[in-house]
Amino acid sequence: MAPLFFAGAPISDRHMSGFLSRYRNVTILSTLVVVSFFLFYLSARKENHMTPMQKGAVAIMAPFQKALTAVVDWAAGGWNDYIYLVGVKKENIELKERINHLEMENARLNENLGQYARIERLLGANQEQIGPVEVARVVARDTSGLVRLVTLDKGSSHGLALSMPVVTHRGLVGRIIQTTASVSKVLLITDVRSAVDGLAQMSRDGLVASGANSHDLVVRYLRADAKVSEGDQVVSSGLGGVYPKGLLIGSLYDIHREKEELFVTARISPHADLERLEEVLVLKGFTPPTADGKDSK
Amino acid sequence: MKSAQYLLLSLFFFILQSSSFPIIPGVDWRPDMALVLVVHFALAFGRVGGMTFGAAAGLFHDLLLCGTVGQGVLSWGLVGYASGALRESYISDTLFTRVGLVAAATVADIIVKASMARMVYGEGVGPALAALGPQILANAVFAILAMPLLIWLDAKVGGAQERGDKKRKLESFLTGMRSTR
Repeated sequence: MAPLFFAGAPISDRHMSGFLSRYRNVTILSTLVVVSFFLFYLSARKENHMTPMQKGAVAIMAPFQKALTAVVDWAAGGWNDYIYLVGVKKENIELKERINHLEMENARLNENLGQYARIERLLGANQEQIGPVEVARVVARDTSGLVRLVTLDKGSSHGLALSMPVVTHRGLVGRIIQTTASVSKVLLITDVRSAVDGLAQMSRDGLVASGANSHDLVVRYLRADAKVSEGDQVVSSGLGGVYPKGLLIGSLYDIHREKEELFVTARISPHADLERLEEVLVLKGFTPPTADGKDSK
Repeated sequence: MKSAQYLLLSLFFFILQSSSFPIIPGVDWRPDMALVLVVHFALAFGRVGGMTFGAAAGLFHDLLLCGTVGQGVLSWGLVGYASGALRESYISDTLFTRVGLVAAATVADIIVKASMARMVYGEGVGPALAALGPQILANAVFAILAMPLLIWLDAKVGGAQERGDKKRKLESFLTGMRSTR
């Protein structure tokens, strides 16, 4: 029966309102599903562009996130500096031993570096310059586990732009995919949408390091005759222009060679601690070219 | 509490959840605080209210933290609707049922989001599904702690509002009396 409110409406309207009230639940849920998929379809198509709504939400939350991060850092600093001191003495001895080892290794590598520089000068090769960097703090991250994104506290007003590589002192982190005046979003190399063209550092075999939304990376297209072993380091190759050449990605492990397979299966453990990022460096001097050949800035 | 106060609380939860990184070393998962709030809201306001609040909170989550918009809207909208519907028709409101609902909502949330992600990216949902157990545990523990607090907050703020409303009604009544004279 049609509600009283619609009693004076034309018959077609009454039928419609009767239909809506009878199937109210189905109508509400269908609307939710349709709207959600529509939004999902639109945003998945334009992943690198922030809508005004996204910019608004980020702008509202950014100051609070920055403030809370500062408070958490302060509290964690207090904990680490004053309370969490168990085993420090033992760790200190171990670290001193390690420093001795590293100093020796450093001297050897410096020698090699000097030799390399001399050869480079002789060959007249151009050393690739990474250029200026911007230090940024991670103020938020996705918590669903279905995407690997972090938010930085700096944006276009600090000179950050789309596709700029992001690193830590330990290795490659990802690249900027969205930016506003005050914050930027970084797609981590472990995200399923990420693929980095890389090289095994020692053997110089090419591979692609693909994200899988897990803690590590999946190796693709590493030839079966590649002379790689567990622990070999992988660096970016610079091919494709997305990342500069020579950035450390991680170490190979779980290498499997199957008979009659063209490619080796392996995984890469990233050197940068992507689960606990705090400060990162954005390589402002490197902006990959866009599809039309222009600078992405 | 009023809807606006719930929204403010969910914003606070978002900030807390996204910015306070794991303090305990080795623990990678943390409770989905806003999801717990969606369940609580749905139990208080029913299926339509729960769905609306869930979709709004999901939209904000997507806008703020995800690269894509829509997963949170659908997932939390459905969670809100289902929780409200269950409360209206089938279940009694106890802490046990609330924690059970939160656990079920966690499963539904991850499955819906993973299905949508799989449609677009084709892979990469395995780790999220593998983390389902710890996530259910984290959300359930948080629900045990937070639900009594939310109910208390509801009663406290709601009571204050009711008292405020009565006072305002009395004042407006007295003002009306004086102007009639």
